[in-house]
Amino acid sequence: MALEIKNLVGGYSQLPVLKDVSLAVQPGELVGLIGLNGAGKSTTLNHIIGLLRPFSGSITLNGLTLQKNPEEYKKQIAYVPETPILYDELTLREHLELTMMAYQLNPDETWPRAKKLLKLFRLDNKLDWFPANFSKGMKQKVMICCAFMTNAKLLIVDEPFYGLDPLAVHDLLNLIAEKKKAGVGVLMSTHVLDTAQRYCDRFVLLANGKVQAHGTLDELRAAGDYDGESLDEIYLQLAKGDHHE
Amino acid sequence: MNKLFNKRRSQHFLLLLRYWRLVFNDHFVIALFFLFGALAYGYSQLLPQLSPNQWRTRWVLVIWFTLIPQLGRLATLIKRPDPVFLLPQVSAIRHYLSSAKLYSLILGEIITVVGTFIALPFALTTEKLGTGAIVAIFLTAVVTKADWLHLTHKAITQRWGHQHRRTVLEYWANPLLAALATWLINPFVGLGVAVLLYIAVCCYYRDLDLDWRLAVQSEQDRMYSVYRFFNLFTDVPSVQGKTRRRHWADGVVNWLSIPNHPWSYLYARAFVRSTEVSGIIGRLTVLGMVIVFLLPAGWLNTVMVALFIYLIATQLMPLYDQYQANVFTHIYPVASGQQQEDFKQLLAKVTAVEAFLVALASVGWQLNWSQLLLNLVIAIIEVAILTRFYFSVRVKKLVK
Repeated sequence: MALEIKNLVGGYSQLPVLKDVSLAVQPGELVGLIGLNGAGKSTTLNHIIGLLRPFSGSITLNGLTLQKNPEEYKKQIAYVPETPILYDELTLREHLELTMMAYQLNPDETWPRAKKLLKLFRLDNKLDWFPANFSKGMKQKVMICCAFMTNAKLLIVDEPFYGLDPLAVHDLLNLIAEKKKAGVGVLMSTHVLDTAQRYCDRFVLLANGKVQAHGTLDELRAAGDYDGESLDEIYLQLAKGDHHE
Repeated sequence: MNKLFNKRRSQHFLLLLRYWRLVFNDHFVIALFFLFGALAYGYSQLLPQLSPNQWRTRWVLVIWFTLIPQLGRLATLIKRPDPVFLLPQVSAIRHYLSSAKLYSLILGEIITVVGTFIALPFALTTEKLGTGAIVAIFLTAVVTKADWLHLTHKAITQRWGHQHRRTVLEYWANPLLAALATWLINPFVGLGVAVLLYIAVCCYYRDLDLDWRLAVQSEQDRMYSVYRFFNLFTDVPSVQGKTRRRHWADGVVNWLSIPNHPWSYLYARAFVRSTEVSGIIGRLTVLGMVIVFLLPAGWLNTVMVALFIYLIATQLMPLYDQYQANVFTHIYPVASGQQQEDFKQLLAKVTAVEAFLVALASVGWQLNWSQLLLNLVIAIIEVAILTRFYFSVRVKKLVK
């Protein structure tokens, strides 16, 4: 069991955004977190990475919790945020170095991995650039490089496809597949449903801070009598039903 | 459109008020009071030493009266989306601008009158001035300011806006001519010159249709300098400063950062490369060194050394929570106390170097070694107190 969330109630202030969310991500599995704007996807991710404190419920990662073993817990997670967040004062090379330091990675072992990622995203000749000179897509690629060169057991990826060119989307999906093979669990929130349908092993459909449905595509179809329908159609039906309530 | 300007003016006031409140909340302002007090004290000590009718003091007055009108710019309060939303309001924008000009004129004249008052004791000691002459000096300053503001208005018009060099020349030349006539001939001639220049400027620059692009740009520049001032005391979101690589300072970066400490790695680079932080620390250090170098030995000299060390340390402290809004600050697997420890190291190193420089300069042009020794001892004690105890107090205030 990589990540396990049980009965999570949480949110930003007193008012809970998430009401009793439970989900799990197994090692080597890509789970898609699907939901409308404001359904609670990013809030769920923020709870997992420790930006928010649960009102009740528990989040465990390979038996560790943020409350009891903060450093060990954080070391197992790498995060790619929805909007790239970089340090204005650091060059690309220094971002990578800082990440290695923070995750206590051995530079000699990690640099070859980093170099491979940089080359893949055509950033290998921009090591001395500052973030101010990068485009939105390049910044997103920097975030991906930083997260994917770590040894984290769980990758949290928030809306990774925005701003990436088609080639980079393809490369990112390959990278995720590689990580999966290495036994890394990946939790990815996205609106791009046809991509999600093709690549995710399981889905968690969120609406109004609750888990509306979860499981593989076949399980979703079986549960809701949506024979042969795509994830897109299933989701629209669920969302509409939710709307009419 | 008058309503629009009034609304914006009150919003602007509220914004300034909010910042002023933050300014007066800070310890920094107490230090500034000391600084101004010391300057006023120095000024009053200087006056009896002046001898009348010297050409040098006249030139000081000429420079002073050329500088005063440069303060207090045209506040149009024009915002970036205005060219899109207000484009059809061609004639109404004239009314808007005349309200803006009146408002700027009142503020500018207040600054001018205060500036003239400050110079008056100096002028009365060095020149023989009757009541009529004093009135003429005040009127000259007021008319010159109005002249100057008319120039700022024409600088954002379609017809005249692109003659940038000419405008800058006029900004300086017009006040200079009036000041030269006042102090080298006599104040009444000065008043005549100022009035003539004002009439000439008003008659010549009449075609004043607004150039939106220039207006937005100049208002942004103005607000930026206002924010920069407030940024001395508190964090203003719109003032970020630029990043420069500064290869030559890599040695400093290495000296400041502790190996394998991510926070130290980050802070050292942020300090050296952000023009905002290193800029203000550098300026304060140089200013402090010059002031304590020129001040005669004595208690005031020591107070100034202590004051500048305090100023430098407090200006560095906001760097600590610069990254609070960055997610990675919270998700890097780094022990929670380490950020504070690493910043303390940087603070101690930087403050110690700057304190040493300021204390060194306090030897003064008279080479007073005992003063230097005293200041050095005080500097060492102060740096220790600031970085060990005062910073911990500040951190609690910074991180809420």
